[in-house]
Amino acid sequence: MGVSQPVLAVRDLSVQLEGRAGTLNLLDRVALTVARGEVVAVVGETGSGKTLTGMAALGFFPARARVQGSVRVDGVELVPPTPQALAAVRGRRVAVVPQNPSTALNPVFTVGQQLGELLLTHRRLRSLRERREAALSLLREVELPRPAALLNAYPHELSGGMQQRVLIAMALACEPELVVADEPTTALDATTQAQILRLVLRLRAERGLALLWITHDLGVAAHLADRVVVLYAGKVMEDGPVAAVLGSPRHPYTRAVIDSLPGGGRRVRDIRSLPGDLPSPAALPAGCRFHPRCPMRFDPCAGTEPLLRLVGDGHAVACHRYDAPSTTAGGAPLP
Amino acid sequence: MGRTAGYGAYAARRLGYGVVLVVGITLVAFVLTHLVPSNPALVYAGLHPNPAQIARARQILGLDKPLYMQYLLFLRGLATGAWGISITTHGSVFQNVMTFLPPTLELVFFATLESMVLGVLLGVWASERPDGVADVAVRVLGAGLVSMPAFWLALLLQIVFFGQLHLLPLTGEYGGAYVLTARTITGFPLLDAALSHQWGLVGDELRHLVLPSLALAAYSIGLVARMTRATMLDALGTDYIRLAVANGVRRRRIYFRYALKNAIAPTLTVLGLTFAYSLTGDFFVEQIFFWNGLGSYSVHAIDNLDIAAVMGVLVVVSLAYTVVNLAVDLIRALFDPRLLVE
Ligand SMILES: Nc1ncnc2c1ncn2[C@@H]1O[C@H](COP(=O)(O)OP(=O)(O)O)[C@@H](O)[C@H]1O
Ligand code: SF4
Ligand SMILES: [Mg+2]
Repeated sequence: MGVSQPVLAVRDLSVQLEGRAGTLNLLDRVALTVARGEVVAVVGETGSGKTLTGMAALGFFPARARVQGSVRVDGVELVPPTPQALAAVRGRRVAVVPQNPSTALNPVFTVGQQLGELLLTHRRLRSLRERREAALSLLREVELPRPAALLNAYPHELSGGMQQRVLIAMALACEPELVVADEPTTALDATTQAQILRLVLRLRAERGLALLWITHDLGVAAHLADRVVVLYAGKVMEDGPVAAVLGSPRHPYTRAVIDSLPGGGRRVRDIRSLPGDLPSPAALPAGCRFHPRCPMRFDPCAGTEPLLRLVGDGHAVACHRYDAPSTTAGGAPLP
Repeated sequence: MGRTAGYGAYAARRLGYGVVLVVGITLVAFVLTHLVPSNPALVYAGLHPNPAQIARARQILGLDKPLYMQYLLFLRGLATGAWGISITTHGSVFQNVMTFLPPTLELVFFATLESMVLGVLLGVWASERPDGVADVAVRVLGAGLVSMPAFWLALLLQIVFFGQLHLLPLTGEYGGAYVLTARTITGFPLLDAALSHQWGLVGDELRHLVLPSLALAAYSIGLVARMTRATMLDALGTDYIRLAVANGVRRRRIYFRYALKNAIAPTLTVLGLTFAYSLTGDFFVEQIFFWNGLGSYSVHAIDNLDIAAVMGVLVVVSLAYTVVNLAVDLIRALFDPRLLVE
């Protein structure tokens, strides 16, 4: 096991479902890597496969789906998700901060009981006092006021922001190497969202956590991430360092997203505002799946599917505009 | 965070509803029984009474007073145990009820225990794999139990376990061999047998309890099993259970600590509601199994238009129903603190 082994390595992950409308291609040869202590943002429109990708890191796949490729956490293979592999990964190496704090906490257990359960499972704290102490220190770590009273509180007695902090504390209680956060601030107001992001940045610096941060908010990605992976209709379009992907995007899709944003394209915010429709996973366009919406399309786009190619240091793009000159007759690299 | 105060207020509110309910039920029962076109004084006074005897009977029974006075007197008597005189036993209704109630309570207690334990276990088992073998079996069984009338099931159980298998006794609370030795201490047959260390009698009474309690419990078992299955599946599909799974909480803990606690509140409600059904079922079951309880007493009282006795039984039954549902509400709130917020 080398030092450089990534926490999460997804390779050629394809997820298909047989539906009434034919085969649904939900994920198509998705590849992404999260190194130790790294923050990777997965961005894309709603329905682009962000949640599916994030849940794959925990060995969750849709029921009856055909799953191909490889998902490795610390070298533990999750395709297929054997009970042993799941037990080695869920909570132990990877924890989750879910999207909707109001439904993610169990309404019939106190905050203390829910933290305690994870402390018992993952830190083997058998005595109630040890668990109480550990829970208190976690609540302090996520900057919640009056932690002692909070231990006995039920989720419905807390505000959304407090609930999300409790959920972060629960993720920390597992002492994971990687936290998968699925749009964890979407349900919160802007102020609370900013506070949570500050908290996450602090925890990340202190604990050296790796994060897979799923969002459709490019502003959040810019603020938080080391690297950005852009998903479109279940496929990776662009993958690279945050400054490169958001500062000088190469893929026409990424560019279109950033240019379509209010504020002249530099104030990056919400990806939901891109005009046009995401294709259905039951009827993906042939060739480049973005070509019906692409302002830069040319001859090969409708015929052959572009592959991810390196265009810079750790920066890859799936677009015929970046094919090697010998294979891109007629196409010129973008400026 | 103000939880104990919340619980106190909640309990007080529930208790208030309970009192209103009992008063309402006594009022309705009183009015209803007085609308029955009959003359209880005639029945009380015996065969071929003369007018003076009838008048005396009316006086003894308080039938000469205005209706509202009769009701107020009845309420006062209720609190003091003066529940009137039964025209069939010629004894105090309160005494009668206290004699016949304990065997019924034992029967209903075991029936409730069976519906709780069997119903919940079957429901959890079925929920483990939706549409699996266990699930289908439990669903079929549940539908059967819910739709089968208590008296029909009672006869079926008698035919199979007494008639065919010779495993269990046909009727009664205990075998004839114990007639002379059985003692009355508290009035609860099983408890009395245990208190007087007659372990043979305890075993015999338990054997006699099996069939009637099962006949009585069948409906609730089916309903609780279906309810538990549904609420378990609901709970298992929630975000918080999925998060617990994602965070590596073990399967057994997920089922028996997490999901079951979420599923238990609706199940308790069902148990409370089926309690009323058990009480009506009890009337049939006691008749079929010659169980010497309140059910048998009531049937006899109704047959003879014994208003005081019917009223007494009604009051006890409504009281029991109110108490059980009050208890259900109070226990439910212990499992699910959200109920305290109204
Ligand atoms: N369990 C499932 N069964 C069928 N389709 C699914 C399932 N989960 C996700 N999908 C489909 O896969 C696509 C991607 O979903 P998702 O990963 O949730 O997108 P995102 O999180 O980016 O909004 C969507 O079209 C969605 O309808
Ligand atoms: S491959 Fe063609 S259609 Fe697809 S993004 Fe590149 S230029 Fe546009
Ligand atoms: Mg999603």
